[in-house]
Amino acid sequence: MYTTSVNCRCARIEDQGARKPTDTAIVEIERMRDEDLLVLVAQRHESALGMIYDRYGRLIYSIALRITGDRQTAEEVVQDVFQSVWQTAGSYHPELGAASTWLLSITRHRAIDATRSKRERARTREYPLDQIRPVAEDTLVEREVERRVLRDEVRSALDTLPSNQRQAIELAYYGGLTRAEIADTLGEPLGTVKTRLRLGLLKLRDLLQAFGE
Amino acid sequence: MTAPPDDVLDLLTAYVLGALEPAEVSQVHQLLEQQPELQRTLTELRATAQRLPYALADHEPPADLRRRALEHAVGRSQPIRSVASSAMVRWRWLALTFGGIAAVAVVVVLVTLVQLVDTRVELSRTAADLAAARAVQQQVVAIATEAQVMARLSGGSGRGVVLSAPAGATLLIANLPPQQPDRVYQLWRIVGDEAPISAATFTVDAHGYGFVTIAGDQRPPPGATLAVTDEPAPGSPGPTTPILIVGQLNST
Repeated sequence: MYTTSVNCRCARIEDQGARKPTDTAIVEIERMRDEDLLVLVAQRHESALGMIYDRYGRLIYSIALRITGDRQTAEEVVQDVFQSVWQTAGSYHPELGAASTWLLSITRHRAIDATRSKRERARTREYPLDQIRPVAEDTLVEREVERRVLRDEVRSALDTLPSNQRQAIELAYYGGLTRAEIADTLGEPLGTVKTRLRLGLLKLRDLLQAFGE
Repeated sequence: MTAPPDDVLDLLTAYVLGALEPAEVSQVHQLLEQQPELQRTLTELRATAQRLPYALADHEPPADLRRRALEHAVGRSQPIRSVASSAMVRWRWLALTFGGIAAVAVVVVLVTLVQLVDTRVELSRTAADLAAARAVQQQVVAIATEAQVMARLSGGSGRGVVLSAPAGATLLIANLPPQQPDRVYQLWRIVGDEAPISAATFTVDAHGYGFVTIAGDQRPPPGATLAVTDEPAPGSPGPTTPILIVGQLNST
């Protein structure tokens, strides 16, 4: 049972003083799965929330910046996301998907909401995906390697898409636009936009599945 | 497995990217009910869309954002802007203050006039809210006296009960926090390891009470898990926020 195994791990952390963790407890937290960290966050372990920030803070900030196009708004989105995690980690349910998916989904929706509420959509800046900045060393090498492999796979897959398909997908996913709005934005027929989204995402799916095999 | 036709794939791809109009979202929900085999394609497409952010260029957040985010999260501070942006805001405030003083005087006069009108409007709204709440309560009482409890949903944000009504309908009655007008509550059914499927969306009244009828063909099977999340209207392809209340249907 999921909860039982997590509780066993948490008990070890508790023994060592979870709210003011010792070095041993910190190492233990570093090795935990994201889902286990959320259980600790629900029990008000700030160190677990800090570990989630260390793992995802940069990605969450990058998504927020990509969607809002504004550093200050992106920072506010990050703060909003972590407040939400702190307040609602107890209701996270592993059956609904991976913790990372949950975190990134919250981020995307919060960022789109923030952009809409500030009416800054028209000023959204493009951050080309090929602007790669070196990634700092992470304490858990395997985790970082895994993320880099995934990043490279997704980038390779996106690079194979015709630019108009990629553009349509990014306007939908990061811009929060409907198909009709994308058609208006690009000055293209609605049918063309539908086709681009379909062909683009299906090709991505096939490529990513092939990478995974 | 035969690939779904293009028009269906058009809908599914746009669905997972959040690019559908409200009426089209309902169309997808109906399609998924009528053709459960589409769930597999939908799950694959959703997984693909969820990987998109990993391709983004890394942008290093400000060094103090970690501290600010964590302190704000645990309630030790209000949202704090970075030092640079705070300074800019202070300058803007100075510039705006002098112009603002004159504007405030005009606004005070206007507000006083508007308040008189607003009070009347507010009174009629309150009366309408009370009438609506009474109507809901009367319906709930009528149902509850004859219905059978199929599941209880609970969580930190509220509670709910799923009832099997005499006419064969399945009802969810919930008490959850009132939402913004652009949000809805969404009921998900989860069977085994399958992805959550939307069963219904609903809103609550000003007192937090709401109910929704689950159509016979969308009725969750015995033992299914039911969960409610807060979603942007008119509903989401998959849950995007934490579960507020959750429960399991009786196995019989």
